[in-house]
Amino acid sequence: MKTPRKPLHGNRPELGQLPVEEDVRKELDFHLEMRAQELIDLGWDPGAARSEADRLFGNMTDISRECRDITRSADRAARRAHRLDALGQDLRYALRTLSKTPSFTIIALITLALGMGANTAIFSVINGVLLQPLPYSEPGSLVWINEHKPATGMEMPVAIQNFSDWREQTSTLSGLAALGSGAATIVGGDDPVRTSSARVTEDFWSVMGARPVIGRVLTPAEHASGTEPLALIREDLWRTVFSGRPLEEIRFETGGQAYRVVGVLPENFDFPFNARIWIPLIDTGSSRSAHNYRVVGRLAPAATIEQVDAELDAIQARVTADITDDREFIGDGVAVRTLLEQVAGRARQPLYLLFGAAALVLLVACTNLASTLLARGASRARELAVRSAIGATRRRIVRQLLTESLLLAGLGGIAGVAFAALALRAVRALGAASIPRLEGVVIDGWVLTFTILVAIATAVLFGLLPSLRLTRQSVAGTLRTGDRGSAGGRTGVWTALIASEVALAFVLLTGSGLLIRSFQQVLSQERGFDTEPVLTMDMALNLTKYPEGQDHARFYGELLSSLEAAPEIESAGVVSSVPMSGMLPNGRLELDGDLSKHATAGYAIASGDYFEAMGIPLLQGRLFDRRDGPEAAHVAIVSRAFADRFWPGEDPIGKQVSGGGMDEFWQDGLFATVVGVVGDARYRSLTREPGPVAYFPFSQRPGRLQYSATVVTRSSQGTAAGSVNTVRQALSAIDATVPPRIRTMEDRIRNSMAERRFLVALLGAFAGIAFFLAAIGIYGVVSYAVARRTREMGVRLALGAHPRQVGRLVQGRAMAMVGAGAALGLIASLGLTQLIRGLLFGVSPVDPITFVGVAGTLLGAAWVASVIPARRSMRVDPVITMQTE
Amino acid sequence: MDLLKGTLDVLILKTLSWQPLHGYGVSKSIRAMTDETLQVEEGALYPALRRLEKRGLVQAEWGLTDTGREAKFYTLTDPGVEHLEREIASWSRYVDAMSRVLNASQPA
Repeated sequence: MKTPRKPLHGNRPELGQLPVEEDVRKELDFHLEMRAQELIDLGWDPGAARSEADRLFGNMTDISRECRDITRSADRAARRAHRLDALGQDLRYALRTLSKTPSFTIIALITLALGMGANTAIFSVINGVLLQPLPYSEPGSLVWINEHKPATGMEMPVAIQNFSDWREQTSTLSGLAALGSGAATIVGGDDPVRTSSARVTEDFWSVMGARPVIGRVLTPAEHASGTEPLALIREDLWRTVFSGRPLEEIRFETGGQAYRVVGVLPENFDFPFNARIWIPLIDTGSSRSAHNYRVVGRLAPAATIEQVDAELDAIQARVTADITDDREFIGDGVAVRTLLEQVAGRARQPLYLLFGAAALVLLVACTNLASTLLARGASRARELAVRSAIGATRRRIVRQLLTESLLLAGLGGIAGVAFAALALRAVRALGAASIPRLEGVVIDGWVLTFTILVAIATAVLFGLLPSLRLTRQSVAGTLRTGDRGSAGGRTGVWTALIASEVALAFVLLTGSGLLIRSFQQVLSQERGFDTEPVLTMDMALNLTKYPEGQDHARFYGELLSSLEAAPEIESAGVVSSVPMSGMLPNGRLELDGDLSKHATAGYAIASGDYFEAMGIPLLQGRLFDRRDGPEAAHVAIVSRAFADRFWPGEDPIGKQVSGGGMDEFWQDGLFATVVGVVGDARYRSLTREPGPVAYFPFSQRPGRLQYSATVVTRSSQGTAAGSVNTVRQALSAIDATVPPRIRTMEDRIRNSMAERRFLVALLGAFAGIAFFLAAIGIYGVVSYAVARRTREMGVRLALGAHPRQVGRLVQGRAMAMVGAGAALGLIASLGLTQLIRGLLFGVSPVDPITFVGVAGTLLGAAWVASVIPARRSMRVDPVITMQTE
Repeated sequence: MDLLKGTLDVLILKTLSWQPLHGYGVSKSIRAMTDETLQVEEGALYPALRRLEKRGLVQAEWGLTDTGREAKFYTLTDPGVEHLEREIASWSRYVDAMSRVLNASQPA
């Protein structure tokens, strides 16, 4: 149907027939001539009449310009209105068409909602996590600095003396601050609570641009040792623990020190370490090898990260040039990155991977829709032919078809945003432990803009090919052959569509298959400790109440015997760091009574029953027991890896080892004798080979547990969760003011795999969607092929073909398309899975089991999806089919 | 006497309410109706006509005059008629009110 055009401008409707300039000039000339004539008729001299007419008229130049401007703007408005009108007409027509086939429309909308929803959800995560600036003042110029050993690529936290030297000598940073993390038990609030705290040096406040909501920050003088201890707290802590009391009334104790609060920082100020308490960092030491601090800095105006890197590298090289002792523990240079990179950088690869996967899902959705539209279009060929016969141009029809696509994509996009909002909840829950800044992820203007662009691209992707193909057919041919039009004949396009759909699904399935297999591999690693029956309880004692090592010893001794007395607990022990806590310190231990021989190994303090409770087996010698009192000879237990690495081929029992510089509980020259060897346990992560560990008895250096301690219990009834109450009661019977953090070992394992789980779950979901869409696509195309070729089937059957042969023919063609797609997908996967090599564990990127499994699953699903319509073709009644023609 | 701002539109519409006219015709009519008491710069008529056209109050079309010359004719549209009626009503109210005030004797 051709739109009747409204007249645009008198008889200049077909713009350009009479250009505006001429229109105006002719009109005004006419006036002047007529006016002059009028004057002549009154008896004026012709020349004078003409100039009098001009005078009466006024300023010709201005008036004609004004006329032209008015008419031009009127033309523009009319053209706009015309276009809007046509668009409105296209939209109404599209809506009518879509509502005529509700089942197609609904399936198309679901397909699009899934595809665009996945993309919207992932983009909003990327936007919130990687792209949005951090919530600090001018976050772009904040940097994070580590010590760096270029030879090994290792980065480490910063030692105090190095930090001091950088701070004094830098000119590329306007300020830098050292940060120490800690956990504080707060007494003095309404309830004792344990919360993360930060110790910060004096420049912290200016570097971060911290603005308290109440009170003030600290002055440099207040960071000096020997001054009154002052602190800032975070708004949420202030409201909950201190009930929003006036600052003058707030005192709290932590680490045996009483603090007065002078300021409250806003709740979104979570830097560093998600702290809720900030206290001065006072370290008067001069160590270059005790890597105790993190460092944040602010770029000087116009300085770049590269300049900072170069400058600090040079400073670090200069100040450590003369040091040869302990060189392996001293950074040779620095590594500098933006604070945003430090906070969110590790999420980049998984998020971009998921973004890519979501894009593939959308491509599958587009392919699916393109083939459906093509099939639908074939039955619309007649309608389109009629429209073009009555004068619609091809352009006009393509525009109409694209409007339909855009409308579908627009509605699908709206549904997709709703789907994404729901999906984001799941993503937040799933990613909370592994993706930073997730709490700030929202669907905002940027995300919506993205979705709109995606919707437009989608509409073009799935709509353009069908509309171009449909409008290429000859009008006469289509009208003559009626509904049994030509589109069914060529199979090339169908093959391409189905094959690419299958190939895309293949790639996604392989990717997620490999990650799932890796996940299983990680879980099935030999851990070296038991998980199910183990409950862990992190605690820190109030140092005012328990100032000395013997106080800790008494407390833990009482707690452990009370726990072991409970029937549901088989054994209980205490240790400085449990597996999966991420806290096992690694450091320099001296060997064989020789201060020059040393080993780098994990260092732990444990009670004898810890090994039993944790399920770490004793391989040789004995565990710690009553004999190992504070006055007795100092003893140690080493892990098998320790013994193998440092005393290969020798009997480790009776060897000498010292904790050396690990803490202050070692005097120079004190060595412990190895009395036992235990199995290797994976402390740091399930995916890392267990390293060497040396254990020293808690009874001989209990003071070490003031930094961190975890009580471990082994349940006698299978699972750990049942003993939570027992443990809690036992603790509060001894000291109700100690806030414990109780977690099952199972929880810790799950937490350690959070990032992997996040990826597996999302990629798996995407692969599932793609698989489902591909199956629908195959079903749809085969059904369509059967429907179009009913007549051909009828003829074959009439000529004596067996129904089964006909069915096989239909299905065979479908499977050939699927097979081509699977082959393509296989080749693409071989390349693409290399991209996720770094995320795999214990599985090759070309893992045959995964590839065969995926191929089998896809072909199986394709067989099922095609057998249903193929069966239908076998039931064709030749007589009826021939008669209906 | 100068023309009050905005009154030119009403004069044009009124002129066109009798018959379609070209711009020159409109200007001649206005001169005749007002006995040349209203001084209009004649050229000002044309932008006004085009503005009315843009607002859809008049419609323009090229045609032939009685003497066979090409000229652009303006016709009042339906919205133009309605607009004119509203304007006349409001002018009359204004003039009534003004003349009541100007002819009034001092209130008691």
